[in-house]
Amino acid sequence: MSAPAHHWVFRSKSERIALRLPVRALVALALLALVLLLICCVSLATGTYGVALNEVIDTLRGLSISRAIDNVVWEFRFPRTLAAALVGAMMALSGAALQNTTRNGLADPSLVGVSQGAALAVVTLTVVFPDVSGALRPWAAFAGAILVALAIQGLSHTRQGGSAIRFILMGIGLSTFISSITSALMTYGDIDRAMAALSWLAGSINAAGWSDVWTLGIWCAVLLPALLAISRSSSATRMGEASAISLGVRVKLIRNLQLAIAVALAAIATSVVGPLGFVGLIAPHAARRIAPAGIGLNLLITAMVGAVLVSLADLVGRAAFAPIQIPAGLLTALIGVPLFIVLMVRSRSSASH
Amino acid sequence: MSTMAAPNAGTHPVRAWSGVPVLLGILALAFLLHIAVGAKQLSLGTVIEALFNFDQTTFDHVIVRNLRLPRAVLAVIVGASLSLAGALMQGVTRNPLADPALLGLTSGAAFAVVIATSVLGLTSMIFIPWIAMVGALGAALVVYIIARLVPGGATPLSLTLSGAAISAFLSAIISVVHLLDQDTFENLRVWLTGGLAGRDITLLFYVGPPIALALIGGVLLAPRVTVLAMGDEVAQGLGVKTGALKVQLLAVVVVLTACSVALAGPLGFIGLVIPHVVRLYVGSDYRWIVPYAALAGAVYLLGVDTIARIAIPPREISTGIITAMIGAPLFIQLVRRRTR
Amino acid sequence: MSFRSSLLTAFLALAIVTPVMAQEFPVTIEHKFGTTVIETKPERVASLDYGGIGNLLKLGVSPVIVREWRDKFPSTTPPWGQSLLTTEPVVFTGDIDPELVASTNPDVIIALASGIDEDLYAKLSLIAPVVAIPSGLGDYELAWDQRALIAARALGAEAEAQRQIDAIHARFAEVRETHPEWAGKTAVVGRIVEGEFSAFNKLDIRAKFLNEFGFVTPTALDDITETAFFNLVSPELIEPIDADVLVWYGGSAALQESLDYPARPFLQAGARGGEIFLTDEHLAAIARQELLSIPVAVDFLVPLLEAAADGDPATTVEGDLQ
Repeated sequence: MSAPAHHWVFRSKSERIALRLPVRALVALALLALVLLLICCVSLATGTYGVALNEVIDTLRGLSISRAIDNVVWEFRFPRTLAAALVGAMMALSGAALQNTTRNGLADPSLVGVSQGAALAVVTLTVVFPDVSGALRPWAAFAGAILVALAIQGLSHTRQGGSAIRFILMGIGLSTFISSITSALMTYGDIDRAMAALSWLAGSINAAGWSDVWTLGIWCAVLLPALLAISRSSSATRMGEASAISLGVRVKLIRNLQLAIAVALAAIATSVVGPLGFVGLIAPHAARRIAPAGIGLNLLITAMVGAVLVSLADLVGRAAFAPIQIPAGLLTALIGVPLFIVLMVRSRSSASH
Repeated sequence: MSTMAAPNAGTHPVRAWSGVPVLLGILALAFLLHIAVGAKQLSLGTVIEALFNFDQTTFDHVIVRNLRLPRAVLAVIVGASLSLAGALMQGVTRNPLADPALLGLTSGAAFAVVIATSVLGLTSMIFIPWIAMVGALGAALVVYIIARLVPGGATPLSLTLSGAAISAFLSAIISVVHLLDQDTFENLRVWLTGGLAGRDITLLFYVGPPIALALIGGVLLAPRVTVLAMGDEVAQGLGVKTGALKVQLLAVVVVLTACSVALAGPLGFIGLVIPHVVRLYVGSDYRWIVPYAALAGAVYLLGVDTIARIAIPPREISTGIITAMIGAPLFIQLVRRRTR
Repeated sequence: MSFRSSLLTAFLALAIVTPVMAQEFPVTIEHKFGTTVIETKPERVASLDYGGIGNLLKLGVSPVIVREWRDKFPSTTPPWGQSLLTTEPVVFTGDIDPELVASTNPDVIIALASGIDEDLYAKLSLIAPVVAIPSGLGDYELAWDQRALIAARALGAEAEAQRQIDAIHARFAEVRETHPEWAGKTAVVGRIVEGEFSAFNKLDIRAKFLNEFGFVTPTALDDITETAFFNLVSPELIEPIDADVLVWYGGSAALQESLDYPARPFLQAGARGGEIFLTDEHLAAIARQELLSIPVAVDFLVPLLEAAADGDPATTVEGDLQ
C-alpha cells in the first residue's frame, strides 16, 4: 500500500450522511470530466458542415445564427456526442461489473459473447421481422445478452475455481459461435435487410439521434444507481465468500444482480450503436491506475474513462479520414487490443485475479 | 493433455496401420459423395462415367468434371493441409488448443494479402502464396513473443489468448482498409469470408508444389514431433536438434497455412478439431497422428462442404461459417477441460 | 396589330399561363414516413438516390449533391447526359451524412432509391423537405416511371415528366409492334457472382425492361423466384437461364468469366447466337432506370435483340456501342 491517501471528509448537518472521499480520486474525476467536456466541445465543432468555432459557441448559447447551423449543432452533432459519452460510460460500467462478478481482470462484454448475443438478437429482429418497431430493439438485445450470460455461467461451473484466462477463452469461443450464426442469418435473409444490419454491426455512433440519447440516458440513470447500490454490498465479498456469508450478505443474489446489470448495460448500448468492444475491458483498469478509490467513486471514474474513450474514438473516426467515417467500434478495437496485450503481460499469474 | 506418455503407449503397430486403408476408403467415399451431390441431381452411374469416360458434349459430365471435381480437390487439399498443420502445432507447442487460425496465422496471411492487394496494388497470382506466407510467419512470431511475455510464459492458454488478440487487431485493420478503399475491396470481400465456392482453381498451379512438399515434409518430420512433445531437454537428450527441428516444423506449418488461405480464404477450427478426434483412435504418437490428421481433415472438409451446399437449397451457406459452428463448441469444451 | 394590342395580348397570355404554373405549389407528397409539403418550387435539389441524377437532368435540374454509383461516371453523369449538367454536384460515397447534405443547402431532398430509415428521415427533414418512397414498398422497389413522376412532382415538373414517360411507353409499344415475333420469347438478364449465375427475376426492373419488348422470363426461373431482385442459380442448372436471349450483365471486367461459364456451350442462346454481351456503357444505360437513360438503352438494345432473337448464329458476340 502506498502512503496514506489524503481524504476529504464530508458530514451533513445531522450527521446522517458522512463521506470520506480520497482527494486524489476526486481530482481525477474532475479532471476527467473536464477532458470529456473538451472532447465534446471539439466534437461539436467538427463535421462536414463547416461551422466556425465562434458560431458553434453562439449557437450553444442560444443565439440562432441560421436554421441550418442550429440543426447541425443541436440535431446532428449534439445527440451524437452525448450518445458517444453515454455508450462509453455504459460499456465501461458493464465491464467493471463483469470483472467484479467474475473476478476476472480480462472480462469485457464483447469478449464473453454478451455483445455478440445482443447483436444477434437485433440482427434477427431486423432480418426476420423487419416491420417490427425499432423501440423493441433494446429489449431484444437484452434478451439475447442474458441468454449468453446464462450460457457463460453454466459453462464456467467446473470443479476447480477456474482461471481467468480459461474463462475468457470460453467466452471467445462462444462469441465466435454466435458470430457465425449471425453471419449465417445474414446470408439467408433478404438482401436489403442484410445490408442494413451489416452497417449497424460495424459499431458506429453515426446515426444516433435524440431518441437514442433518451433511451441511453434513461437506462443509464436507472442502472447506474442500481449498480452503485449493489456494488457497496458486493465489496463485502472481497474478503472472501465465507466471511461475506457470515456477515449476512446474500452473495449469490448480489452476484447475479451485478451480472444482470452488467449485461443490461452492454445490451442497451449495443442495441443503439452496435457492438463496441474493449471499452469494458480497458476502462476499469485505467480507472484503478488513475486513482485508487472506494467502490462508488471507482465506478464513477470508470464511467468517465469509458465516456472519454468512446467520445475520442468517435471523434477521431469522424475526423481522421474525412469525409470517410471510421466507425468507433473499429477504433476501440485498434486501441483496445494493444492495451489488452499490455494488461495480459502485466497481469498476475494465471490464477484468479 | 498429458505429455508424459512414451511414444508408443496405447498404440499397437498393427492397429496403427490398419486405420490407413479404412481412412482412405472413407476418403474415397466422401470424395464421391461430394461430387455426386449438388444442385442438379445426378445418378451415381453418371458421376462415375464422367470421371472415367469423360464426354465433353454432355453437360452432366461437364458439371462433374469442371464444377464439382475441382471443388472436391480443393476441399481435400485444404482440409488435409490445415489439419496436418494443426497436428504439428499441437505437438510442437504442447498445446491442445493450437490451430493455425487460433494462433493468428490465418489472420496474418489474410492481412498480408489484403495489404498487398489494396495498399501496394499487387494482384498477380504468383505473389499471393508468398505474401500469405510472410503474413502467416509474421503473425505467428508476434503471437509467440507476446505469449512469452505473459507471466507464466507461453502456456497454451496465453498463446491462444495472444492469438485471439492479434486476430482481432488484424481484423479491425482490414475493416478500416475496406472502408478506405472500397473498390479493391469488393474483390477481396468474398475471399475473406473463407469458403470453397467460386474459387479460382488455377491458383492451384502456384500453390500445388509448396503444399505437396510441405505435406510430405510434415509426415516425415512427424516421428520427431513425438519426441519433442516430451520436452526439450528429453528430446535433446535423445539427440534431436530441437532448434533446427522447430524451425523446420514452423516452415511446414506456415507454408501449409498460407497456401490454404490463398486457396480458400481464412478457414478456422479445422486444425483444432481433427487432431483431437484422431488422437482418440491412434493415441499420442505423432508418427500416426499427423498422417491420420491429414486424411481425416480431408474427409472432414469434404463433408462440411457437402453440407454447406445442400443444407438450405437453393442457397449455399459459406463453409467457413459451418466450420466455426462445429469447431467453436468443441473449442469451448477443450478449454473447459484444461487443468492448467 | 398595333404594338399596344400585341403587348396586351402578351400580358393576357402571361396572366393566363402564370396561375397555371403557380398552382403547382405548394405540393403535398405522401410517403412511407408520413407527409411532406413543399412550399415553393425548389432551386437547389439534393439527390440521395443511387443513379438518381438522370431523372433530374431530364427535368431541367442540376442537383447540388448526388450519390456515387458503381459505374463511376464523373459527377455520376453518363456521357449522354453530360450536356445537361449545368453545375457540378458534390458526390458522396457510403453512408448518408446529414451534415454533408446540409452543407449544400438544398431546398428539397429526393430519397426514392436510397435506403433511408425513419431516423435518418427525421434528421434530413430538418434540413429540407424529404421526398421518400410510398409506403408498402421495399427500399429499392419503386418502378422507374413512378420514381420519375414523384421526383417531378416535387420539382413542379410533373407535366413534363408525364410527357417523357408517355413518350417512352410509346417507344416501347412501337418496338413491340415492329417486332411481334418477340412476344412470348424468353430472355434472361444476369451475371456471374462467385461462380453462380445471378439472374434478374421477373420482379426486377431489368427483367421488366425486356418485358416491355414482349420478352418473358423462363418459367423455370419464375418457379424459384421468391423475393425481388435476383435469383442465384447454381452453375449446374441450365433450365432457369436457358432462354432464347441471354443478356450478360457483367461488363468488360467480367467478360472472360462470362465466356468461360461452364454451362455456356449447353445453352440454347449460345448455340443460336442469342447472347448479348453488354459493354460498360450499355450496362450503365440499362441499370439506370431513368428518363435520361431508358431511351438510350432502347436505342442500342433493339438492334442487338434483333440480331440475337432471330435464331441465327450471326450476331456479334460483343455488343457494339451506339
